Amino acid sequence: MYESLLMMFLAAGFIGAAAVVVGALLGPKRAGPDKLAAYESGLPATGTARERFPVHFYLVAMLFILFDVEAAFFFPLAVKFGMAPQFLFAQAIIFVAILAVGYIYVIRKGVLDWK
Amino acid sequence: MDPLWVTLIKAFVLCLVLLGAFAYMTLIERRILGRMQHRHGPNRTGPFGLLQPIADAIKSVFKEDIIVTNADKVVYVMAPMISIIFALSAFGAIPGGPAGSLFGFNPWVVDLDIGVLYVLAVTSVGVYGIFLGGWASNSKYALLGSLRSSAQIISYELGLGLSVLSVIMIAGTLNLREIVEVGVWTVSPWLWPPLAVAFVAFVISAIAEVNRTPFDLPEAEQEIVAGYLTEYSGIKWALYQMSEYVNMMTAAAFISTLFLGGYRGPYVLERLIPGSSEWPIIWLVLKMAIFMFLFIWLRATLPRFRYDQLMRFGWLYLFEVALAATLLTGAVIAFVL
Amino acid sequence: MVTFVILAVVSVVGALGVVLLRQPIHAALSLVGTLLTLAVLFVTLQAHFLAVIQVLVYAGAIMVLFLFVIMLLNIEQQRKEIRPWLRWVAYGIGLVAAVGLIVGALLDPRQAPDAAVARAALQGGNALLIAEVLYFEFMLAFQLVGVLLLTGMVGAVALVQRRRPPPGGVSAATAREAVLTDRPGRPSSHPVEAGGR
Repeated sequence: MYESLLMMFLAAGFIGAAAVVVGALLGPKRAGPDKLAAYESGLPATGTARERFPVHFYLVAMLFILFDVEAAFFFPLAVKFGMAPQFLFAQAIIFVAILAVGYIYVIRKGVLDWK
Repeated sequence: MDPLWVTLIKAFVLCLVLLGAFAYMTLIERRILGRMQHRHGPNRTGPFGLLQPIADAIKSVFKEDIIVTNADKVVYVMAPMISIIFALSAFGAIPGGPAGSLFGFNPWVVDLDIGVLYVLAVTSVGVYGIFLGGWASNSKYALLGSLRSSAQIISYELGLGLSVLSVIMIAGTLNLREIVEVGVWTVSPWLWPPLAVAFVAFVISAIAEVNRTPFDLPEAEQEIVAGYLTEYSGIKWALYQMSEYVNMMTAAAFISTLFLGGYRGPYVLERLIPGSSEWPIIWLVLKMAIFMFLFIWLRATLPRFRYDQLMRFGWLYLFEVALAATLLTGAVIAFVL
Repeated sequence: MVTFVILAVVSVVGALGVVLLRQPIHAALSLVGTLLTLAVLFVTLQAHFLAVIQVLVYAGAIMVLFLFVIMLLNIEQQRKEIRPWLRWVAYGIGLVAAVGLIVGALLDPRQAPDAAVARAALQGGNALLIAEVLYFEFMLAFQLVGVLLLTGMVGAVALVQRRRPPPGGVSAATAREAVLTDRPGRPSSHPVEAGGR
């Protein structure tokens, strides 16, 4: 089973690596300091780009993890759902209700109001 | 199960077919956009511009391979490769027909009992290609673009993951082939409303996942130049373009497989003409083509979201609708069927 | 066995990279590599579902958060070591833990089930098997996970959200209101905040 996965990634990796190598070999190399500078709309590039950035991104990633784990828990539930639909539906509703509290809290706190 | 060398050849052929399809998709897209905007589009290179993709390919190979001074060289080179590797590999799990229907071989590269999750997982790793590309460039526009893009992709992944649950609940399996064989729409008419909602939510999330208009903020040229692509040129830029289009094709195939019976012909046609599901790959390609056209059509029609609108839409509306569709499906299965 | 050795070596090298690489982003990437290798290891053990969740949750979500946090704090600039002796203490603890783990694994009297047995048990989709155990036997634990996630949500928001006086505006809605009520002649006090980023 996993051999075929390996083959898939092998083929894809070969294509990616080959493209980069071929591009590096065939292209001309006439670089100067101006050409290799970072693009800043024609002005000389200043400072580093790796500045600190808004904490919002962190929050989005954090919330994503939490809801992603929720979704991950739902996948086996969905597969098994046909076996005991009413019981599992009740479980899912309780689980969602618990998380809905958090979801509403997050919205009311204005976290998702991106500005 | 095919022998290993057959699998390897299939994987290579799949990659090459996807790249060829990418090349011609760019041409088709430009021609269609041209038509929609009352202009010609590329029509000088060969008849109907048919040689244009080849000219583009040659050009991008022979372009100078620029590595920006401030860039983190290793990551800078790695990022487009990550993008393309995971984009191509994701497609490997899409079944092109029942077992042994491709000249006696199986029309897929990898067959997993968790195919749905495989496609979701592998495409989700593709976000590193974009994030690292922007970070390694060490350029302000590139970094902004990649940050936006990663936040967007992870946000809409939720909608994707939640709206696929309806299908899984109905089919009772994560295997893509079995989902196709079940035929989610044929189970019960009661399931049509939640399925339709899930389908719409899924298509919207998928478009956002592959960064197409109206969700193409990572490359919003009026604001952040070309986003994470700003410092890339030549073949590395082409690799990013390739992965974008391959991701589009994966999305189209994934949508078709989950919701529209994938490689099977339409249900009615199957009943009327028994042989109509022969050549299953044709049906899959046909369905993919419809979605590819939809993606292009949307690009010609819709303006781009603003970033706050994008995040609000994803987290508030799409998330809730996808979850509601899932719960509704569950309720129907539990209490009506 | 050969596959296992290769994967084990790759994942250990990746883990070492996390500790030894100076550039935080490189270290994080090394961790991504380790996690992906572990996922492949799970695949070779027929634990497909676990492998995919490993990729989806760890590589796809948690590591993205790590990268965001690294960028958020801009750790690159803080290279100076504050307590040099701490490094040696950490080496010592790491060494003891590693030795303890290896000795523990070697002395463990339990026999691992035969590969064929495990494979047969996991055949046909282990999402089903997980569901059988998780939602019936460990029902309460499953719901408690929900509570745990809820706690995480509240914690994340509480850590980040600072209470600000109303005129500054906490939510975009109030900020937009402020703009709308501004007199035409008067420039808005926070144009960036109000106009979207």
